[in-house]
Amino acid sequence: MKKIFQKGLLALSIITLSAGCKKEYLETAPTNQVATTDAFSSTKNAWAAVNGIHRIMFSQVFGNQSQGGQSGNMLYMDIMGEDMVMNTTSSSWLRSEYQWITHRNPTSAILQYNYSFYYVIIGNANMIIANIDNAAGTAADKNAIKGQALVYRAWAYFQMVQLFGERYVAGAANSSLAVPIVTTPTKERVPRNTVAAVYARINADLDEALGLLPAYARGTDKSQLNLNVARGIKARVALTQQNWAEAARLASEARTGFVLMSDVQYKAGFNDYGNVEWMWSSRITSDQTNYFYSFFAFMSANYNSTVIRTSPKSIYSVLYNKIAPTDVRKGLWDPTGRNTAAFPIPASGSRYPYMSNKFRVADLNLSIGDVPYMRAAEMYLIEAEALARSGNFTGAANALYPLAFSRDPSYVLSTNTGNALIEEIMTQRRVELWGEGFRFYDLKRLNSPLNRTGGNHSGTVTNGVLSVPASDIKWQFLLPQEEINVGNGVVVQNPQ
Amino acid sequence: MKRFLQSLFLLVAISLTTLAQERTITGTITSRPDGLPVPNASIKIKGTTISGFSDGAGRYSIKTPSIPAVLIISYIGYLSQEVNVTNQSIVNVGLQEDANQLNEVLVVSYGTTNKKVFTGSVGQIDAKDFEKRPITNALSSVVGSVPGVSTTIASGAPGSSPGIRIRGFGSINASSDALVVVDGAVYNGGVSNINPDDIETISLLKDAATTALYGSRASNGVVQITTKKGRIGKPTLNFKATSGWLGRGLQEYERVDAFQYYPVMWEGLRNSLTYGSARIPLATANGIASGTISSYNGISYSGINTLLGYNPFNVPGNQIVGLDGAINPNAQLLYADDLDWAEQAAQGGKQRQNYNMTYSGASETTDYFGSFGYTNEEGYLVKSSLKRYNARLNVNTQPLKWFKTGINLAGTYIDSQFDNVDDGGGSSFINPFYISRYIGPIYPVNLHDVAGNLILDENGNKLYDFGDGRPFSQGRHTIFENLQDSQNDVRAGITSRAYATINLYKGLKFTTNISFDLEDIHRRTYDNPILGDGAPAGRSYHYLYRTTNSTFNQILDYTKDFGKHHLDVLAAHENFSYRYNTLTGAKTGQIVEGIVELPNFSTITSASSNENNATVESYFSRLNYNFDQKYLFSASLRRDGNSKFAPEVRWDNFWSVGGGWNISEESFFKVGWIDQLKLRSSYGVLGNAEGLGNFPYQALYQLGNNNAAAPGLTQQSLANNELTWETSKNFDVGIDFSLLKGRIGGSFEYYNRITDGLIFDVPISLSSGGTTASATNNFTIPTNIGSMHNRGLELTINAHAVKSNDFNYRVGLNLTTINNQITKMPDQNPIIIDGTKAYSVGHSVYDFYLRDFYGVDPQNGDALYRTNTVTSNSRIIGQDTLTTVHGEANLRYVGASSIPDLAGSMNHTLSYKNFSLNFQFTFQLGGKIYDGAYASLMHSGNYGTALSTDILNRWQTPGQVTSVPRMDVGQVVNLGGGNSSRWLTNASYLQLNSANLSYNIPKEWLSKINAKNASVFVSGENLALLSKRKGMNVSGSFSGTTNNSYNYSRIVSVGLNVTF
Repeated sequence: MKKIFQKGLLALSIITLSAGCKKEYLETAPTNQVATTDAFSSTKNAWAAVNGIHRIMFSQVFGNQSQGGQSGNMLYMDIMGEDMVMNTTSSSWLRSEYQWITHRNPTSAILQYNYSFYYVIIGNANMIIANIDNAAGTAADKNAIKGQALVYRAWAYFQMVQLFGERYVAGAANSSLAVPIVTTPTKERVPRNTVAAVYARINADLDEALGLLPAYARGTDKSQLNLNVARGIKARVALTQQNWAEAARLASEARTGFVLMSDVQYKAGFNDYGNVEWMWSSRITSDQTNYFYSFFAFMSANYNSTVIRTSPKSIYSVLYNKIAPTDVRKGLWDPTGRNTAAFPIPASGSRYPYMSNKFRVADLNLSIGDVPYMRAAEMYLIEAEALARSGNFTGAANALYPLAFSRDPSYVLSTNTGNALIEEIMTQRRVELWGEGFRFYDLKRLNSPLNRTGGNHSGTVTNGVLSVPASDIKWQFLLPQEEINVGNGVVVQNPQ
Repeated sequence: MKRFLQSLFLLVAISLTTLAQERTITGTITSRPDGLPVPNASIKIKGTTISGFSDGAGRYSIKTPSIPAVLIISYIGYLSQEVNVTNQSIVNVGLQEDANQLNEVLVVSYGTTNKKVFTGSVGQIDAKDFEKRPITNALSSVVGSVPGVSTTIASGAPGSSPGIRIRGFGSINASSDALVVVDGAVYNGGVSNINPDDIETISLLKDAATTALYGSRASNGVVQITTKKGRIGKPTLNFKATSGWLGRGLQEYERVDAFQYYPVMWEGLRNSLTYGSARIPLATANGIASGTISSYNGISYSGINTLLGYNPFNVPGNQIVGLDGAINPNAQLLYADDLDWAEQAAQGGKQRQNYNMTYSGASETTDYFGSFGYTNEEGYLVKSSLKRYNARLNVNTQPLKWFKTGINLAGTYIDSQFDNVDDGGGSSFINPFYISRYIGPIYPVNLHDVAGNLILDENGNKLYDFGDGRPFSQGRHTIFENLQDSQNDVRAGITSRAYATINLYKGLKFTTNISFDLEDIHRRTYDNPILGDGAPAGRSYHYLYRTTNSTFNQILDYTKDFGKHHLDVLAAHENFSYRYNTLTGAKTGQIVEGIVELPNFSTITSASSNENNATVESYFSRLNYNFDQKYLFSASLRRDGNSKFAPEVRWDNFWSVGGGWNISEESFFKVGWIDQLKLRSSYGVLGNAEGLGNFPYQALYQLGNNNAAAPGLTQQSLANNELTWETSKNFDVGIDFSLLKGRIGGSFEYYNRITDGLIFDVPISLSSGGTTASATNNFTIPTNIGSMHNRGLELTINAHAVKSNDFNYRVGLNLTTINNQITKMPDQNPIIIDGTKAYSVGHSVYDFYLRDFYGVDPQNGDALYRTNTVTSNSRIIGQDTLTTVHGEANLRYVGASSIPDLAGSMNHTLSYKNFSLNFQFTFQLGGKIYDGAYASLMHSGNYGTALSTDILNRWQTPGQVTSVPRMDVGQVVNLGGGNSSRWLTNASYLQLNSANLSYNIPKEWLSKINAKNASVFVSGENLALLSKRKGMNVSGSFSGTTNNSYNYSRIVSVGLNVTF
């Protein structure tokens, strides 16, 4: 009996030992993530959420290699225009986009990316906007945080509406469908809103942000969106809406405090946001490298990636021929394709006429470089274009002059008027912003056809797509199939 | 007469010495009918505690205190025998093999049972079934072994595991994998860490009655692995050595050669010019394609040679293909022997060796088993190898009458090289399968000059052709890169199990088990600075992954027999905890050659770490009862709490009941040819929460998305506080039988598994934001929202078809049917499309949902697809609205599924004297496979990409009726490999899965080296396959898709097994 008691006691003690089944035993949490509620407990954490969006701007958000954050959109917008030439079919990167195929294929990566990428930014911005008011912290911080989130949301919708909607026509109803407007964190399916409604939302967000950002000083960190950037974006929006007066005013205000870069800086490789002229840019550091997703892995002259070795991008020879010989920008392209001294490229790399060395990595071992999203030069060009299109030719010529003269010391104030002046400004714009992701947007907002004829575009490499009429259905991107599938009737596809 | 005299003598002796009752009895135990000695047989004197064992020659000697006595002789696998001893002192016994297939001992949850009194459904694989097979992962033995278990074939990467599904496909977004239990505790490590030679049994627990004790984790069945123990008797020592050769098991698709490729691609270019928007006249288009015309209408064009980039022929580039589209008859290949990439990628060691030593034994109170094993498997592909060292020690002892304890400790060390195919068989430039399959037949592996001669370096070595001018895999070289790069895993694992049992009272036991498993993986990858992802600087990655699991339980077990009643009750508590740590670092900027450790690199590109935890706490109980082994009843209950769910829904109950009736035990049942007949059934409710991640209910922000120096967070997941287990209601009814004195045995079963609360990762609109956590970039919220059933029939029959002294033939057949159907979907998402499938009510999880290919327009070779909407591209033929634009063709169910109508296996064992030959076939009838790998070989003109020989049937002339559309480089989506029903292929197959021939060395030879047993054998794996298309990996996935993965190896191995 005693023995049974002993044995029982031993067993019991083991049971008691184990029954330390505290309630916390089943409470676990990840170490590389935080609860959403914690992310907005204070403005300090909310700042991290803003910086998270800045990071998305240069992250490998999705799987496709040519989509390293916003630079993916920049690559697509230029390759679909006429000013960038693809020299060979042998590289598949961007080839189908160059041939205007994939943005009309609902399952393609370009659609998935251009839609999801901006909604990821909008989703993160919506979380900030919805939660920042209850965070612990100063009003100044809250204003800066919320202001940036609003600018991001507006900018993202602006990027999308130009792709997935029809072009905005001033004075018209603009009642065709663009994208769903989502302004609060939601799990619900939201139907697409009209082009007019999306522009209204963009302007409302920008106006609210312009009220919140004046007191915010960002220091040297140009990845942060300050008042200048907000105004610059609003200037772009106004230009696209053909609201010339507003565009000119905002562009002028936006560049306040920025000067144009020198020739030396112009030829320095476009990889450093320390450049005096840059208004908005990501700063990409080596421990945040985006490897072969990097803009510079596709567009630089000197990084040793396969696509750069085999398929360097050239400028459209027709545009190149319009650049004055004294213009610093003329030296960014090699019309011969044989200038090995001024155009160093990776070993075994191919050379083609009119290839570019505008973009270069600073460290040949790393694909990274800062990516410019807004420069003061663009603001001069917006102001000049808006004034010219509104009939103020003198004002336009004067607005263009500082930029044109800065690039070309022989430049004299333009005496052109009317279409000739507009043409001159547009040529300046095409040359100045080459490779920075503007051309498709410009063609579409101006209702211009795509015309790649008469120069160095090949019938084979373009797969015969040398021109697309302005009226073509192909100017509208399709929605990604995933959104149609999930939308289940609530979200409808564009006409195919 | 002699015997009579002996008896007479003994009788006299007894009568003379009536007091001398103690006597020593000796004899030999042999097996019938072969007469071979049986070592280690147990000999007991009935009614006493006296016992002994036979030695290696089957001899024994035992002292009995009184005469007459009864000897009980028993040995596993034989019927025990009682022998009355009155006056003999030599008792030789011939043991009869136990042919009754229902008397097997089964390993089940938290214990073992005899199949006869068991109410559940379990399939068991014993060591003898696989010990001669050259398998590195023990789970390979599951393939084709048990009905109701679907498997995929393991890949060719050494140590890889086959996929296993028990009774259908239990889940969609959570895991459908069976729970793996090793020696009683849940095991999360790689099964390849376990030495197959250490394994005694692998049990597949299929129904609720057998799995319910694992409650919330058992709904997909349980794979229970039990390792070996020492057996009572003389210590034994065993050596096994095998050595084999391996090679590619699956042949490549048939593809066109260079002479066929050039004209077909020429035609694709020519057609694009003529049929495309430019509408270039045919004659001009022919000239452009051949390369004799370079511009038209002021626009420049390139010919086919420029576009393909390489001219492998001895004729000029613009003379390879004539204006008529035919290959130049004078064309000869310059380097015909340098075009086979698959052959040159297969530079692996192509061999396998395995050495194993075990020793074991036991006394009355202590048993032990020890083993040491070494396996070296070198795959056929470059840089694919595995070296494994295993050791195990299993010791159990009962130092006190009331106390028993034991420890089973195993260690593994695996050093493996793996190449770059482990991306799910994708289209990575460094996947040698992808590249060697799809690279056009005109691109050489090595560098050649224009005359076709090899270009050599200063040391006279060949140089690889990096192919900057090659449109396929441009500027990359999978062979060079795999040789230069390195990917190495060093894996170390410890598996430990310890327990203590206290006998508290008659029949009442208390047991506590502690298990602790640790697996460390140190992964080092290095990308070279010359070519590929590591260029131009070189980069090195180090990853450390540590997984630990521990289980601690306390079990009270009470067994009681009263009269004919047998009762067994168990009650227990258990804690399980899982911890996963990662530590990763990467640097770029290699400093000196040859060193891949981080200090040899200059710039940090990433440094990170992470820890995840998950815990489960459980209370459970079981009751087994039988009356006279005739009426059987079992019930179990388990209450689980799981950290993966929110506190409100974290706890739930899981249970089962089962019953059985041994009809043949009834007195009224008198059918002479039926030895045994048992009817059994069970029902239970089980759970599943595997495969969800560790924190699926929580709304989270991802840390570490920093913006230069500023800390950054991004939204990662949305909350669902209601998320809980999937619950499956498993019903099973079966008949087990043994006929004709064990000549025929088997089971016939029906199962019905209804899963409710099926977890769907419900996709949220992209407009709600997104995350990289899902493949389609949108948020998904795991939600218990669907239902589905899996039901089917299982039949297993084993027959000893020919039975004689010298020749025996045994045959086994397993058949399985699966009917899988979704019965409830989320309201918001009545249909969810997932790759080539879609989920909706009334369909199985593997019903194909594709664009529906109608055929080829005989007028112009356009591909026609069925559509729902009429556009300018559509037309109506008969009942069908058709379109030529792939994107306009709507996705739809095409009436096909990857689930076969019938699947099964056949096992044949023939033995003649000392020879034994065994074959295992697996097969499947019905079902379709979506051959995406083939689709990519049927493109309509991707420059540089290889083509199937079926492309030779392409449309070429108006009026031609064919199923292969026109070649046209400008329409590769519409005409080529775009997703459609065109790629569905009959998935029926017959595979010779394994075969082995062994020879038992005669005992008389063995006695010279004092060995007990020895055999030599030849074994083969994956020996032959009969299927619809050469190259198609028909058994590679459950979902019926093909990819570019490291497909399986064929292994032929010889071996020697000696026991002392």
